Order: sequence, then C-alpha cells, then structure tokens
Amino acid sequence: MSFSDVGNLMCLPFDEIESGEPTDVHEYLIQAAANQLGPDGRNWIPVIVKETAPDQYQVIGNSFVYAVAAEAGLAEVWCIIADDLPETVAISRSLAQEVLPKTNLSIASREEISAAVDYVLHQPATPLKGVSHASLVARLDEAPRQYWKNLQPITKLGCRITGGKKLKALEEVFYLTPEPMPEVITDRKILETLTTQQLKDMAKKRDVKGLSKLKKADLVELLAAA
Amino acid sequence: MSLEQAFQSLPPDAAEAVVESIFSKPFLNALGFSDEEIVPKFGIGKWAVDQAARKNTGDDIFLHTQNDPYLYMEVKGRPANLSGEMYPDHRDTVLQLKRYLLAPSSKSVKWGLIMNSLHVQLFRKHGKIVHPVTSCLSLEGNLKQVVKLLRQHIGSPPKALTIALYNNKGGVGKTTTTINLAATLTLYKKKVLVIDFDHNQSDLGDALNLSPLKNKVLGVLKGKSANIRDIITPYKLEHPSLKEPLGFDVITADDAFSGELDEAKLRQIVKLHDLHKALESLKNDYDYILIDSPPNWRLFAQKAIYAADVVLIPARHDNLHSLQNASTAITQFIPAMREKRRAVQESGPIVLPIFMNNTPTRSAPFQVALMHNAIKKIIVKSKSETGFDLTHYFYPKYCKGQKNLDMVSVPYMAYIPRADFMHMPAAFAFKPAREQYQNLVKEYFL
Ligand SMILES: Nc1ncnc2c1ncn2[C@@H]1O[C@H](COP(=O)(O)OP(=O)(O)OP(=O)(O)O)[C@@H](O)[C@H]1O
Ligand SMILES: [Mg+2]
Repeated sequence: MSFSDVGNLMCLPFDEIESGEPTDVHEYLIQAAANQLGPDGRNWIPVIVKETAPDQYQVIGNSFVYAVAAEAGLAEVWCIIADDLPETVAISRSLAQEVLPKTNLSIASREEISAAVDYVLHQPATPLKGVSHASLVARLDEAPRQYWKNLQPITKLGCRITGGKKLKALEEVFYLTPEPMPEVITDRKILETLTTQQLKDMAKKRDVKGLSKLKKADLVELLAAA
Repeated sequence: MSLEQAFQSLPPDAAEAVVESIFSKPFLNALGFSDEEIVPKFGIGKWAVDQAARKNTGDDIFLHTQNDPYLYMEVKGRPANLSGEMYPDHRDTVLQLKRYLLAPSSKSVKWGLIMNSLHVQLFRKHGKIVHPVTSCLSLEGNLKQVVKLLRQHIGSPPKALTIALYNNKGGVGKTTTTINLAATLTLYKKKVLVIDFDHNQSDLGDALNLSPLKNKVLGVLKGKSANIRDIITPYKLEHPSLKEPLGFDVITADDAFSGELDEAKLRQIVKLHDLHKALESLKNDYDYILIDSPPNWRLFAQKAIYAADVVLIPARHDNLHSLQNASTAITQFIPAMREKRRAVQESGPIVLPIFMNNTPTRSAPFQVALMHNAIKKIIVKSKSETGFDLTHYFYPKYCKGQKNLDMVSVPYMAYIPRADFMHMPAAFAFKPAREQYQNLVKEYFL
C-alpha cells in the first residue's frame, strides 16, 4: 500500500493550511457564502492543496472556498491532497476558473479561435467594442499565424485593432509557439501578408537585383514564381 | 469461408468480438477489398476504428503503408440495435463514426459504415458534412443485394453535395443565403450549381440579372426531350482585378410554373423524385448543388427536399413563425420525404443546425431573451407532442453540463440589399459580407 495522501479527501486543521494565490472575487460573495456556511458548517466543495512539509499544506485551487472557510471561521477544512507538479497547479486553477486558460494561436483551429474571440467580445468591459467577430475570426484563421512571434501582426489585419488595450485583451486568451519562417516561401497567400521590407529581404537572399523599384504586388509575383 | 457461410455460422446473440472475428473481413472482401486492403483496429489519433480499407495502388499496399484510408467500418455486436435511426445504440454508433470520420487524420476517408452483421448503414463524408446515404439495411436474406448496392455507392463516389435551403415562412433569407453561399464556395475554388426552384418569384435570377427560363424545366423533369445541361446559365463576375472571372452555374426559375398552378394536374404529369433523378447526371460536375426552394410545402418544395443530401433552414430571431416553421419542417415535412426515400433503400436529407439570418448587430438583450424563450417553448412542445428533441437543431453547441446557446448566424447588413441593386452577390461585392459568409461556409461545410 501507498503511504502517500495524494488523491485523498481529508479534513485538515485550518492552521495547517497556508494560502496560495488569493482569490480576487468580490468580498460580498465571500461574506454571503461564509454566512450561509457558518462556523460549524462543512465545505462540501473541497479546497485543493499540496503538501509542503509534514502537516503543512498550501492551497493550489478553489481558493475561493478557502477564503470563505477563513471568513466563516472553520476550525477544520475539507481538502483534496494533490501532488506538487506545476501542471497540477495550472490545471487546478483552470478547472476552478481562477485563471483564464489560453489558446495556442499558432496552431488553433478556426473553432478554437472563434470561441476565444467570442469570449473576449462578451466580457462586460471589453475594449474590443465595434470589432466584428466574423471579420476577426476569418482574418485570423487565414493569416500565417504559425510564424508570428507576437500578436502585433493582428494590428495589420484591418479589424480595428490598433494595439494597446485591444491587443492586451487578446493576449489574455492567446499565446504563440512560432515555427521558424522558412527561407523560401512561394505560397502567394502568405507572401501577401508580409511587409514590403520582409519581401525585399527574402528576395535579396535569393540574389534578385533591382528591387528598389518594385512594388509589393510585383515582389509577391516574383517570389511566388520562384 | 464465404460471406453467406460466415453469416450462417454467427450465433444469434454474437458479441462484437465474434462479429469482428468471423464476419468483418468476409464482408469487406465482398465489398471489393482484398485482405491486403484492410487494416483492423486502425489508429485515428487517440482512437481506433474497427476496420479501415482502401484499394491498393501499385506498390502502395494499404496493409503495409496504412496511408490515405478510404473507408471506415465501425462494428457492433448483434445485441446493439442498428435497425433504425431512433434507437440509442444506433445514435451512439453514428456519433462514434462521425468522430472518426471528422478527425484531422481522416482527410482521405470518403465513406463510413456501421455494421453489426444484422444491419448495415452507409455514410458519406463531404467536407465537414457526414450524411447517411442508405437507410439501415437488413442483411438477413438480403446479403447479395445489400453488398451489390453498397459496392455501387462505394465504387462511384459522387462529387457533389446537394443542399436545399428551406423554410416555409417567406422572407427569411433563403435566396440571399443561397446566392452568397454559392459565391463564397466559389472563392474557395469549389464548383457550384445553383437552382432557383422558387418559380413563382424567380428572385434568384433577378438578383443576378439572369432571365427566367421559358417552358424548359418541365421537359427536364419529365426526363424526355431535354438535357438538363442545356438549361444551365453561367453567372460570371468580371473585374479588371480578377485574372479569371469568378462565377458559378445557375438554373433559373421557369416562367411556365409561375402564377396559379393547378397542382393536382401537375402531379399527374411529374413525380416527386424527378428533380433528384435529373440531378444525378450532374453530380460529378459540381462540388455543391444549392437549391433555393419556395416558402410553402407544395410540390416544388417537396421535390427540392427529396433531392437533397442536407437541408439548411434559415430563420429570423424576430419572427416567431419562422422558428415554428423550422420546427414543423424538421419534425414533419423532412421526415416525410425521408420516408419516401427509405422506401427505395436511400436515406434522404439530414437537417443542419438552423441558422439565424438578419440578427441585430448591436446586442439587444431584450429581443434575444424573447427569442430564447420562444425557442424553449418550441423545444418543449415538440418533445411532448412528437418525442422529437430539437435542442441541437437550434443550439448545436449545447452539450452535457454546458448551457451553450450559441446559434449559427449572419447579422443584418446594409450591404445585402445594396448588392441586390447591383445584381451581384454581396459576398463578391463587399468584404465584410464576404467574411460573414466565409464563417458560415466554414461552420457548416469546409
Ligand atoms: N443578413 C441580411 N442583412 C440585410 N438584409 C437581408 C439579410 N438577409 C436577407 N436580407 C434581405 O431580406 C429580404 C428577404 O430575403 P430573401 O429574398 O433572401 O428571403 P427568402 O427567404 O428567399 O424570401 P422568399 O420566401 O420570399 O423567397 C431581401 O430584401 C434581402 O435583401
Ligand atoms: Mg426567395
């Protein structure tokens, strides 16, 4: 048999549990729930903790429940003992909706992008007012986002997102794991999304002369034909 | 062992493993796949389908390379009831098959079978759509005929998906959606044929500045004098910035059917299935055939539904009748046409999630709440009266533990009436409109 408590539901003395990342929900919700729970109540939804030392625990998920237990003055708190892997903290906080899970924009499907954009647009104080869901999703989906190193190129998509707060709002839900840009690109669609400077650099590498006179459309034509 | 012998040797309550070991291979052999063209327990990401098959090409032996599967077969034991679409076993098996067919690694797969050695049903995959092709076919005493039928289908996969746009409430956007879906699919390099089957209004032709036909369609439907190819008009958009003109093919409405028709008389000379039959010869020329149907439940609407693989129902959030009519179409009209096609061992159309046209851009919480309430009533009523659960037709993303009320929608756009005046699909003329329809096309089809 195993001597580990990992996975167990245990009733732990409140003093043995140290707070983790504190909850940021409104105090009204904590107070009202604490009143409902009372000092002798039982928290049927357990706090998720990890063991940090013998008889020492730290909250890694459901910190709202922990805050309510503290407010209600519970002497003992029901907890589930989790292991101490970093992934465990991350998934516990996601499942408890304490952090916003992020979507990998480098490889996300259109459905995933659509859901993430929809989420941002539906936040009450969203800075993305006036941004069209359909346009943003269609343009993100077609963009060469597998090569993006940051979200700046979104400002070039013509979706009324010009940086600042709006881009920050999208950074809340998207992250990137960029692929290196290949040396040779002939896909017209991708070429069209690059800047004139990037196209010129690419053409230079292929020893094309007399670039300065060429317009963007000509450069695309040239590189696509190569 | 021959297929017949394998069938006879199965115990009446054969479990899945028994059906698999005795029947699956002879069955696939009979469908034309040799032993080297079959892979059992074929891996699809983290799942595995019971059988996968593909014809060998030159050195590419499917059993060895396991590349580009062409057909999947999900096998069940005899106790699982696959004899009709209303049974939970059938529903679960179809969901499972769909999951396999739509997995990213299944791109090359065209066909799916579900089979428990008593019944078999064939499904086709076309882009994102998986739809049944045959009814649930009984193998008992019919082995030879069923195998022959399946071989015919599998050997000649039609290129086209036939989509009927239907709502018996008028003015919900059938014609607009038909035109713009066609235009948008064209942008994705799909070959599209549009059929204006609303002969009374011939709106679709008007919107593209194409004139109606004069007494041509009857001959085509009767299948005698005329060739359907002779009544096709190409619609082309030419523009200096386009290297090649963009466009799709159209069969416009026919003047001969406009005005008050004596429907009883008409029914004496044409048949329900004639449109379906007439389209047969075009199914390898197009990727999509879109049929714009009239806002009623009379002969031409019935022909359109009968001929379709899938039905797309537009509705409007602010029009209760369009929502109620969608429900009637799903629970009564379309099943009636499916029953007709089941009688000839076919399946008939499936219904895609209802799509909301003309939704207000600025969210109007009060109106939205009204609509959800109305839909809730329709869902409850239908469940109690017909046992039909409409939830997923209205809310395709609603699932276990998640009250997701998202609906597929296209907002109100001033570009759309403006494009009408320009005699051009809005999706060609205006980028914001194009993007809305791109999303629609990806949501449903690509
Ligand atoms: N998303 C939209 N935004 C703005 N206007 C729209 C939209 N969809 C449709 N319309 C307009 O609504 C009107 C009715 O649309 P449409 O003719 O496509 O409906 P319909 O269902 O084909 O009608 P009918 O039943 O008469 O055949 C048209 O004038 C069209 O321009
Ligand atoms: Mg119409």
